[in-house]
Order: sequence, then C-alpha cells, then structure tokens
Amino acid sequence: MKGLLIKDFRLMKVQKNYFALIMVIGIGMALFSKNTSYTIGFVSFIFSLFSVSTISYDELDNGNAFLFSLPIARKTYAVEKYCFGLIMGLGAWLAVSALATAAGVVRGQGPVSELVITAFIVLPLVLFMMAVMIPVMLKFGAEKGRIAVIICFAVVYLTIALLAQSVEQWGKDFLPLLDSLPEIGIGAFLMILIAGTVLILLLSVRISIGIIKKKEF
Amino acid sequence: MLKIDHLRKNYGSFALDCSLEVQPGCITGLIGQNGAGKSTTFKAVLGLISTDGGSIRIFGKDLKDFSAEDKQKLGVVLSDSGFSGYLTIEDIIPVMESLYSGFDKAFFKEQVKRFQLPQKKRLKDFSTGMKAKLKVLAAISHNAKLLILDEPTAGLDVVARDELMEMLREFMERDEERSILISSHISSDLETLCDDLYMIHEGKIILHEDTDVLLSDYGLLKVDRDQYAGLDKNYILRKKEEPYGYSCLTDQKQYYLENYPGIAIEKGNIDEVITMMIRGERL
Repeated sequence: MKGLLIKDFRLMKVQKNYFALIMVIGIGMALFSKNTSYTIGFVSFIFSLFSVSTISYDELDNGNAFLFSLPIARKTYAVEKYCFGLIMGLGAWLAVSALATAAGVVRGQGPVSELVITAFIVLPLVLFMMAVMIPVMLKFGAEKGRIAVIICFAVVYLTIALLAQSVEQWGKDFLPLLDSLPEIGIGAFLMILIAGTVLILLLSVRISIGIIKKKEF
Repeated sequence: MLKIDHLRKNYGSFALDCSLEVQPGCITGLIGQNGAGKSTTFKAVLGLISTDGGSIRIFGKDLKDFSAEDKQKLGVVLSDSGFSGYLTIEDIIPVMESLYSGFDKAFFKEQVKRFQLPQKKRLKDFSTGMKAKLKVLAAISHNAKLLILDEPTAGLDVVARDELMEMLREFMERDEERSILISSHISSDLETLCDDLYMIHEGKIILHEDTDVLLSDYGLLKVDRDQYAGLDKNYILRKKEEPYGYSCLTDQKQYYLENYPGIAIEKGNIDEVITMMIRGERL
C-alpha cells in the first residue's frame, strides 16, 4: 500500500502546474466567493479526482501489466485508490472549508454554524462522486471511462433534478425543510447523510475489488 | 522453481498448450517467433491473465495460492510494460524500497551509476537501451529467487545486449539457487546464456533440449537426391527441399559424420534448428 501511495504522489508531480492552478483558484474562491458550498464542492471534488487520474497514468502504455507483477495484491490496488482519493479529497475539503468558513465569518456571511453545516453537506457529495468514479474508471479504463463518467453524472444529475422538481410540485421546498429542522436535528441529519455515503463508499470499494480481480492485463 | 503443466489459453484461433520447467540454479530459455505464445505464457505465470486449464507451480506453490508476499521473490521484466513513463529513477527508488523488503538500494544506485542512467529524467524520455537496463536492474535488485524476463533484449544493439547478459550472469553468480526464465526471438542471446531451451511455435512446445546438446549433437545434413535416398533416416527430425536436394535436421550429428563421410554436415545453431523445426517437414 505504502509503495503505491508513494507512486501516486510521485505521479502527481507530473500535474504539479495543474495542481498549483487549482490551489490558487480554490484559495481565490474561498476568500472571495460568497457561494461557499460551490467553492468547497468544486475544490474537494477536483482534488479527489487526482485519484482517478492516477488510474489513467497506471494503465498508460500497458503499465498495469508490470504494476500487477510487483508484489501488490489486486485488492490492495483498489483500496489504495480510495485511500489516495480520500487523502486528497478530505485534505482539500478540510483546508478549503476552513478557509471559506473563515472568509465567510469575516464577511459577516451568517453564523459560523451555518457555514460549517454547508461544508458538511458538501462532503457526502464529494465522497459519493468518488464512489461512482473509481469503479467506473477501473472497469472501463481512461478512454471509455470518461464517457461512462459523463453518462453516470448525467443520470445522477437528472435524477436529482427530477426529484427536486417533484418535490417542488408537492409544494415542499427542500432547503426550508432543512432549515425547519432544529439545530440538533440538522446534526443528526448530517450524521445519517455522511454514514449513508460512507456505506455507499464501502460498497463501491467492494465493487472495485471485484472489477480489478477480474481484469486481465 | 517453476513448473508449467499443460497451461492452456485460447484467444480466438490461437490456442496455447505449454508445459515447461525451470530447475533451481538454471537459466531456461523460451524461444519462438512473434505471436508464438511466449508473452501469453509469461503473463499466465504472473497471474495477469486467466487461464483455460493446466497448472502453474512456482516455488512448489500453486499459482492460485501465490500471494503478493510470494511475489517478493520474483523479478520481472515485461517487453511491453514497465514503470510509468512519467516517473524518474528518483521516484522509483522509494517505491521499490517499500514494495520489496529485500531491496538493495546501495546496489541499485551503484548500478544506475555504472550504466550512467539519468536519475532525474522521466523514463519515457530514456533511450531503448536505458529503458531495458533499468527494467533488468529493477528485477535483480531485490534478492529475487526467480527472474521472469520476457524479451529483455528486444530492440537493443549488440553492446547493450552484452551488458544486459553480463548483468544476468552476475546475478546468477551471487546465489547458486537462483533461476531465470528468459524469452527472446534473438537466439544468439540465449545460446550463450541458457542451460536449456524450449522452442514454442503456434502455442505448442516443439522442442526442449539442453543448450550444450543442441549445439554439439544437432546438425544440418545437406544432401542431393541420391545421397538422400541412401540415408539412414532414423535420426532425421525434419527435412526440407532445397535446389540441390534436401537439407535434413538431425540430433545425432556424430552418427552421420562417422557413417557418411561424403556428405556435407553443418554444425547446428539455434536459428537453423528453429527454422527447420518450424518450416521443415516431418518424416
């Protein structure tokens, strides 16, 4: 596992300009954008994507054949991609959330608790995207994976849009519903949301292990 | 060390059925044309592809029970794959160090210097020779017991090939129990290095022989039609029509030298033996 993580961090050096650019954009957005949830979501998502891009680097020039002849269990490989994604995604989420919350407070953009809640609502979304993208990339590879990922997200987006629409039709707006929950209720709601996402993530790990075990190189 | 028993793999019209064995302390060569099944055999041994039958045992252990931990004792070179081209030697060292408990960093660095491999350059910008040396170096730097080398000399000039062969000989000298399975389509590489040779053609092993025997006992008889008619054909493996008559492959050169002093007999070399085994006609 450690060897793979080192490899992936070293591979990221290739994208260091891109990495720096995202950092600058992230810091800029965190400091100046009022749309805190978008800022946190965008930056954490992009960083967790680095994990997916290392999958493409691994398979470039048939590199996987050699990689899997090294003393690495296939299961470890799959798990490592999640670990790497979590390190990057959670790290970015933590940093950008802290920064955006601080900036929001300075701007007088509502109470701290609300900003923190925003950050925690975005987190499951980032984890969910990772849970979808990693198995899709492992299954279809970099080329077809990209298309598969777009289709996946289109489906997710449409589902959410349809749900939102039907909720609206029922005359119940989603956000006021959240607001109407008492403070402790929101805490519990977030816990359930995050626990649910973690379960999805674990399921995704299982699926990815299954995919990688069947692969031929 | 390694025992492959009727390993089968089917790809459309291609069917592999391969049996071979690598003994402790030996270098065994697998030789064959492009597409003969060498890489498929190697990939199956490494567990990279599923198989359709047969068994593979490494260090006495069935491949199905062969764990990542067991792979520590293997050193691998694949012809069409390696470390990511975006990494540098400096990147690879810590990766190797944490993957292999037996990684000899000092040795690795010393050899990198010896072969003047650039440490900060991306591997994709290496020359073919540098890439090949690094691949072999990575395979021999962690105290492996068995090397599995698929076409390690492909695309190399004579000097680079000699250097690679030298690396492998030094590797063998350091421990008598070590073994190598090596494939190539350049027979002269294997002629000087291997203890025994397997020839593979269209997925089947068509010949297995000790290299010494192959070089000393195999020969080509060049005969005209009359000579051919009077020839004892018990020890002729293959014949081929030629403008002057026939060329015949034998594994008992001495017998014909003694009994047919009049006919031209050439010493066998691996290329000719292969050509005859593949193109020649069975008697």
